[in-house]
Amino acid sequence: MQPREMIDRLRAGDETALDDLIRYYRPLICYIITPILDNAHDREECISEVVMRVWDGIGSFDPGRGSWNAWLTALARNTALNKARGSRKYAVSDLSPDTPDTSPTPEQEILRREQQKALYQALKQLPQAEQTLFYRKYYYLQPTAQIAAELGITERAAEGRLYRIKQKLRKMLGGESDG
Amino acid sequence: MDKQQQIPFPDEEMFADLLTGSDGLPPDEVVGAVTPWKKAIKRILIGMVLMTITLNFWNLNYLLPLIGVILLLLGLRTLRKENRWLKGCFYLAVLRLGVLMVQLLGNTTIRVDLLMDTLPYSGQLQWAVTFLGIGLVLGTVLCLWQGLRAIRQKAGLPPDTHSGAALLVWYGVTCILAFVNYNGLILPLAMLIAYLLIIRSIFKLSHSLDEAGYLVKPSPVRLPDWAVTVVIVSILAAGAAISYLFLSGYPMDWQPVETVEFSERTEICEQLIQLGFPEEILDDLTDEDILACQDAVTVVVDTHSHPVNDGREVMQGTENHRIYRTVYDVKELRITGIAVQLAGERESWKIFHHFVWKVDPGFPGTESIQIWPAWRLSEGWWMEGEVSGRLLVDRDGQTYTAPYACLGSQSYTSNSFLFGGQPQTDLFAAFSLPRWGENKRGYVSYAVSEVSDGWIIDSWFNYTHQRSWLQYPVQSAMENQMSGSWNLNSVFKEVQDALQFHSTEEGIKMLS
Repeated sequence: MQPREMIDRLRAGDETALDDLIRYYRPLICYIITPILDNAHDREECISEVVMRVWDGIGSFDPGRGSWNAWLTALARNTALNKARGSRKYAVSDLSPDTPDTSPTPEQEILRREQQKALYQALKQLPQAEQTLFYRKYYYLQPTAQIAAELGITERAAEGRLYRIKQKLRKMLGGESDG
Repeated sequence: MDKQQQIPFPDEEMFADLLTGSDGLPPDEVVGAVTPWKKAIKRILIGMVLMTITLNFWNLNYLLPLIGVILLLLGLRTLRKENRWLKGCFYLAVLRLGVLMVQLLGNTTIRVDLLMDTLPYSGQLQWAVTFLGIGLVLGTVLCLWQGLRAIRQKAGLPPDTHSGAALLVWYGVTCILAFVNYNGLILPLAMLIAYLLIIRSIFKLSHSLDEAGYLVKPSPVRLPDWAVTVVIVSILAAGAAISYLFLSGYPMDWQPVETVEFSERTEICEQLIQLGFPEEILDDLTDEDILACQDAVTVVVDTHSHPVNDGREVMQGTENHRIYRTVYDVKELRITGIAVQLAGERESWKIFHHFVWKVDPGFPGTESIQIWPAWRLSEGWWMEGEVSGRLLVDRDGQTYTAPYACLGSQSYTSNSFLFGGQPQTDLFAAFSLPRWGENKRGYVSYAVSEVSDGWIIDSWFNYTHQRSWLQYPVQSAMENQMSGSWNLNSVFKEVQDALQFHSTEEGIKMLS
């Protein structure tokens, strides 16, 4: 199934495209959400939610911003993260009223956005293999063991590479490097 | 980056938080590379293509299959726990790597061929190895085909992998063509086109499996891919080094010469010396060869010194008329042709070709003597008895001797530039000289008797010396002589000498 065909059918409101979406892209969605959601039931719910969000949001898909797979994986990852955060929120909902509010201040939020922008710029300057490794770990939240197995390296080697990438980024972004 | 450098990044963990909290799309290249499947299947398919291609130059016919089988192994190592077919495919790849490594290492020594020649049922054994190779190839394709089908089925996709079956049939037909030694052009061309189409189809199939491939769970590894490659290459390098250092020659049985003088030998020797037989060569002959010269009538001796080096080029003549000439400062090999006429009704001769290294021959690889005996070049002579001879070397005043590793008549097909493959039979003596000792020497002898009058004795002695280990696959000096190679790579150097004379009632007329 070519992505172009899938997008066209979804945009045309063809409901049978959802069946094919599940049929052909379920493995990809599963692959993305599994490191984030431990629970099989949560994963099943998340897949349904992703499919609905694709159906609702296909109009906002812009091929100029990224590929179909990039959009779909981002959607799946964000849905899974929201679900995971929701679970955690539920678990700590009985905090006392005296607990201090840890939400960021507007200044902190602006600084964070600046940092995010700078990080994206710095990542673009890394070799593709290093970018991919970093994204695997910190965007797709894959466990080091999974990354190592897929790259044909040991966990120790994967950790070492990640450490060196972080050192490099830190240096590029003007932070202190202790390496 | 000036702006970026002003932004504080106090904590490395912030990277994770920043990326985790971002809602932007990851780069397309990153998304394409984040998959458990693509790298592995690409390695498997490229590996299979490299293992099938045969390019007979720059040793690519050995290098490409090695790279191919390593890629196949690394790809299947990742996928081996996915299903039983891929697991089987992985073990077959391990076996194929083992077989290939044995073959590659076998090509670094002549000992494997020697061993095969001595084994019982060696012909059947070679067939068994051939069939094992075919079985491994077909088994790998079958397992891969079924493994891909299983992945599609697991993802709930139809098992549309006909290209795997087509590849299996293709390999089968190729094996049959090789088995019947098909020499036509049209069928191989059609097979090549079919192969390219099948491979294209399999690559397309791998793309169509991209989505299903996300279900694959790669196996963790204890050794990283680069380490596996280094281990394989190191084993090959170490094995090749051992082969080139210690197994580059024939196994020779050097034993001290025990001289037992007896009157009959002494008498014959005295008579031969009187007839002009060189005394130092006479000492090298076996008792049997001395006794075969009883009642000698005439002795013909012809000695030449030959260079085994490439010499140096000197220019002669004027500026307008330059002539380049190769000058040899050292002539390492002295070859003596001796013919002893034996008493009897029919004219018969015992021919000796003796060689001695006046300086150390250097690399102790393989040596070979090819004799073109008198009966090969003219119809006037007939072979009498068997070919004989031995090797000798001195160390600390003691002489050591060894029989030739191979001495006798050998049939082979010579590759002539003009006439193509020609069946030939010649006398050969193959051997290796030791690293130790000096005065390394030996001789080969045979007897001829006259069939008809008027023919000259024309006996050729072609000595091939291996000067370097630098060759792959390894060829012995005797194989080099049989191949009729021009020795442009200078691993081997051939020296030719001939004993040519005409015996008439007026006496001996030397022609060489």
